[in-house]
Amino acid sequence: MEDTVIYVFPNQLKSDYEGYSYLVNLYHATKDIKNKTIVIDFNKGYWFEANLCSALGAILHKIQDNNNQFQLINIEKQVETIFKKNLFLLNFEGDYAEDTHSTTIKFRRFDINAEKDFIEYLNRELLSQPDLPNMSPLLKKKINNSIYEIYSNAYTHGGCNYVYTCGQYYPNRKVLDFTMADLGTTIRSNVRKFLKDKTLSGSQTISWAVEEGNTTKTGSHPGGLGLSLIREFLKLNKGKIQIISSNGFWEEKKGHIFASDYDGAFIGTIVNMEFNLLDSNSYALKSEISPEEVF
Amino acid sequence: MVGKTINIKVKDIIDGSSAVSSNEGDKLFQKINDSFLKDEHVILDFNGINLLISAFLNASIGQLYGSYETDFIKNHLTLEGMSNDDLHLLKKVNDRAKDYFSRKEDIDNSLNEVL
Repeated sequence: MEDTVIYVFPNQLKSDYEGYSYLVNLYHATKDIKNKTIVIDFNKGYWFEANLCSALGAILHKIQDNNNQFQLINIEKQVETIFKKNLFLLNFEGDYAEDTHSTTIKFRRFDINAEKDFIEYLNRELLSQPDLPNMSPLLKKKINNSIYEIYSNAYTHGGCNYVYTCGQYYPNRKVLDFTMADLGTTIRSNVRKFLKDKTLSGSQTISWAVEEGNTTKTGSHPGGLGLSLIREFLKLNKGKIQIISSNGFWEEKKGHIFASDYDGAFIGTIVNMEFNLLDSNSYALKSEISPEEVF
Repeated sequence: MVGKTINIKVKDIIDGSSAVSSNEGDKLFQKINDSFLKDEHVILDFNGINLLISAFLNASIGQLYGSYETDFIKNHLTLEGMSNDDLHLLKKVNDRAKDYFSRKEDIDNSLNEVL
């Protein structure tokens, strides 16, 4: 048994500070383990928010990259069905199931340069999903823009090879959660280097990065807008954004910010966005602007 | 006096309708820059573009402010086919770019003084 390491999940895992702590801890507890079997015990938990599969999938791939094997045990039937429907298990040589109610946005791992594939995936999974509530074209556009901005951030700042994505529509609350994870350079590392301040905690660096105008870019491309545009939209949408990077957690929910630090640290960055699909805002900006005025 | 006029369809440069990548933005920047260097006037046509994000605009248009004055850009670039929403986005990108490059110039100047 000494070649086996067991990690136990709680009986519910949600997209909140506590829920992410179990994922951060799973990474932290397994990061230095090599050539072993890691058993992840789902403890027959009845609730595992499926959008979190992207972060879990990223960690499992890291575990495999370290020459380990893993086993997922005691997955409750309903949770297992969702993992089959969103193709999470299929990606790890498991089974799959038809998603008849179209509530899942499939788990995928994208090569960071495969932008065309990502565009096609979002078009298929999000724009053409017949069972999502009717959304105004501008709301759909804002949701898409937000997701692409995060994908682009992973490309620009993360220096990573892959982006892991997964989403889930929650019909009772009429919200869509879409989560992206990467194993690239953390926000803490980038911001500490840029500000030349090694004392900044993970959550402090995320708080800095989400402010409009703040960017760690130093090259020929200006930046510092993407996250503030998403925040502006999600405030109006009454949605939420959560960012986990290194040991930092930062969340803005309906305009309220909560930030804190974990004891352990995640190797990359997880971003979850929750979109309120019953949003009736028109998003049509009041003022007309002429093309000449933008320069 | 601005030279001849060149039409650039963004759709042709990015080979699609989603302008979301900074690499594709760089391609467009190169095209515009080539024309600007020859003092040509560029008409940039966004018709057929459904998705446009700040990363693409930073690379394609915001980047111009690192090499050209605002008045030069105004006189040499005409935009067509952009929605009001996207024009507001581009205005933000350009305002940020002006601020970014002015600060970058200050940092570079102070570095030069130190060196």
